[in-house]
Amino acid sequence: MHYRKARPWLRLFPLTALLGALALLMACRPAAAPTPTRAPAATPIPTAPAPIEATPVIRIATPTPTPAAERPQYGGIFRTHAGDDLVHFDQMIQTTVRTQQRVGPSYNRLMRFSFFEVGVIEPDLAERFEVSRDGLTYTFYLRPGVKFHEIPGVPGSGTDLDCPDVKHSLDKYRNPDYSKRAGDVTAISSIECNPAEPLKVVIKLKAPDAAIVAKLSAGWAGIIPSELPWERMQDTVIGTGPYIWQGYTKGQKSVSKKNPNYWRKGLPYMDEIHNFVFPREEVAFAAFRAKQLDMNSYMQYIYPSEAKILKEQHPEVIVSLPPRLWWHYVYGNLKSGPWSDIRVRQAFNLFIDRPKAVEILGEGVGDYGAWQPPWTKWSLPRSELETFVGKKDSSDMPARRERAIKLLQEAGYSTSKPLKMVVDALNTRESMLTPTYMQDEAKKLGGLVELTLNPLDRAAWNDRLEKRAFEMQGSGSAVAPLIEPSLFYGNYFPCNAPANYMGYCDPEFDKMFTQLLSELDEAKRQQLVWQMERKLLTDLPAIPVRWVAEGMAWWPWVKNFKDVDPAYYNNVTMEEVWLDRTHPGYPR
Amino acid sequence: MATTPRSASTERVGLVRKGQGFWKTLLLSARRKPLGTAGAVILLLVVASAVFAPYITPHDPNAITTARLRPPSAEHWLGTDHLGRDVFARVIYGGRISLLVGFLSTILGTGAGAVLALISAYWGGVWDNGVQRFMDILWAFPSLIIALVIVTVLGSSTRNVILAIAIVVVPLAARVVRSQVLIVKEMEYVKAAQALGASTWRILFFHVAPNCVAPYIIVATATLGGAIVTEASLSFLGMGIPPPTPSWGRDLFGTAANYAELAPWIPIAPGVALSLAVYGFNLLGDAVRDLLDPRLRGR
Repeated sequence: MHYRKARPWLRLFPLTALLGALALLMACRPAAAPTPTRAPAATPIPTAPAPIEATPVIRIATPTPTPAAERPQYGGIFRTHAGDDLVHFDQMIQTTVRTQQRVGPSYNRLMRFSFFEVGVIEPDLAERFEVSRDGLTYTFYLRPGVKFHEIPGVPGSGTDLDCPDVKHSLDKYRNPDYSKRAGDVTAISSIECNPAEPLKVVIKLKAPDAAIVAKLSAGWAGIIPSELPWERMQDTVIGTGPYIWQGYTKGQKSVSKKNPNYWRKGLPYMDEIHNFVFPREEVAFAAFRAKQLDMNSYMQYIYPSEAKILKEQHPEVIVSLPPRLWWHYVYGNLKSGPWSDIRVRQAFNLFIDRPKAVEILGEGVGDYGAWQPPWTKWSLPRSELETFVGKKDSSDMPARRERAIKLLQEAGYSTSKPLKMVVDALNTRESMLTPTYMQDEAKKLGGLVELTLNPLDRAAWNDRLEKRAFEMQGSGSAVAPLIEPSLFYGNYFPCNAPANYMGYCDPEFDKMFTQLLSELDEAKRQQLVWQMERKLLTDLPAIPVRWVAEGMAWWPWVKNFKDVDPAYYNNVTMEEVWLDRTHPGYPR
Repeated sequence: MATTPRSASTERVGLVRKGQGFWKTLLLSARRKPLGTAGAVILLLVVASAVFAPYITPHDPNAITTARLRPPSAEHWLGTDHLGRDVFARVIYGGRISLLVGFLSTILGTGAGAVLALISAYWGGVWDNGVQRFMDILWAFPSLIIALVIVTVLGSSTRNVILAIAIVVVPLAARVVRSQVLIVKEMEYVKAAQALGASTWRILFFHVAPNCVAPYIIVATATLGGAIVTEASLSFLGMGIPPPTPSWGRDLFGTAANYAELAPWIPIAPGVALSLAVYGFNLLGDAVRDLLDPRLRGR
């Protein structure tokens, strides 16, 4: 057999092909017009109404009926995703919205946020409630005939809902050892049941709390059977909700099936919810565009850049990109290390250019401020706020950096002996942004600060967080369920707050926080909140960086879903949502 | 003194022949192996751009600016990424890390493997068995998995990534060099050195080792490209060089993928750089193998 020897130049084919492909791609790129740096300004994107500013409306009536514009259809499998893998299923400990979105359809709460109107609270498991004149006693009347899911082998399976279930659930909610949300409900002194009246729940408060009903309506305040040990919530999901938990396969998906005995007759509409695991957002986005997902997560992951692609290529897709009650911050360990020096904290607060962070990290969408949403009345007046967090046009940044340098030099740091800190960062697209940005900002101090990023997966990151084994945290991120000022502090800054990882403890702040909970006069509350904002911006246990605006997208066959939840945590049961399987674009 | 085995060995290696200068030999080899020359030129370009990066671009590869997602232009030759960083600057600075990791891990790994093989094969017996079984164990796992485990345990830093890749490389070098040692140690000049009473270490490092250089160089050049790809793979999995240090792997696979559609230059640039470097190493490796392997010499 005779083989003809290949010409040597032919072996250069891969190289030439590679260069050719590059040249082709470069040639095919759009002509000279530069990509706008503020994408959303160029392409208007439909947004949901902005969150309300005042205390939420509580509607003591039946839940909002399904809008009757279209006749709902039953059946179908709803496919969505909620990011990377779960560590466990207890949404009060694993507080990430990823947990909430997956287990949420299995639970009900005493009251709930409306799925259709922003900031409206309506009955859920409680038919109604009464408040004593002194505001210290709340009596909830439970709906009769509500049963827990029937899941063989799980404690409490198929039992009737009664007061001990609510007490068991809310006692967990307020126990810091079993709930990172315990700081929200410190006002509760006891939850009482009377065996003679099993459907009556009496909640007693130490002091009035203007937002207690809202806090009990938050997505994570789900009711579990009293037979289920609290620890079991990490491996078991059982509630009274519209969908029954079928299981979770690590790296793949969670599956929930329609609850045939759901107490709201006729609901839910869909047969199953499949919530996929997509550690990489671009893969999820590609799956959504390929119609393998009906909704690109009902939580986040739509940024202005993705919204632009959808707007151009899939104009029928519904995109929602409103401001969220979600803020990013950085903090260090106050108990030891450089972060315990106030001058270091002040320097960090000074050298981070926040407006630029919104421009770059938020793709021009979002805002910056302190610990209260900057677009609300609870935030300090802009002129005063800017003295703490910088001017909108960043014109004061050179002077702020100079002050930061002086503070660091006073603290004993120099270019030959720079401040060196290791910054823990959760290794996801969103969570890496702030620490990367901060590291770059620190370089503008002429070598006085050297930050080393330590990217970690969620389990390792959580572990170091819980053990307080970090020097600095660059991926601080938190969400509040509604605009209630105490919710932006409760879990993070009081001495015993469950998510007070920085170790901040100031009796004066705690006193103001207690006052805030019981103060019902709006004007006085505002003054008090402003005092607390000033206190936190002076003590600087943590450094606020920016308020996030991220969106969601869904195909037009997903019906009856409204993006009314500024927090992503509350509108998760999907019981009103149905799939229009006759829609011409519906994937068959 | 009779004929020195060393001079014989130099002839066997075949790069510089007696009476022929180094440069002349190099020129001849380049003419005989045009693809290898192309590989060397590519690598020279990559190395030069990495070394002289600050003179080639005025941009700081880590400087975050508001000039986000800009397409290639006179100011930003390969555009900017989602944080407004100059992609060209990141590519050429990224070459520093990729090449540093590639070279150091290869030298460390193949060096350690070669020394282990030299000693174990020459002594034979229990030592050889023990070392080879350990190599079997290392080889039983996919190299990326071993590297991942090592980086997970030690933490992700440039030093640890180099160490992880080096450990992965050890068995390959050990196997190839061992087989050569087994041949060389039976050669007459080695027997002669033994008969003359030369010490074991002298025989190992002055008579056996020089005659195992050819397969060692082949393994090393072939491994370099793989080492760079392993670094890129580790970075893809978030376990490589910590950000924001520019690295082809991280810049190719990380956030770049999110913007691949809006700003394709972000993943393409490091991708092409990575491919070119690996391609260059492979071409050069092939040519070196052809030149050093007596069975292929002259073809």
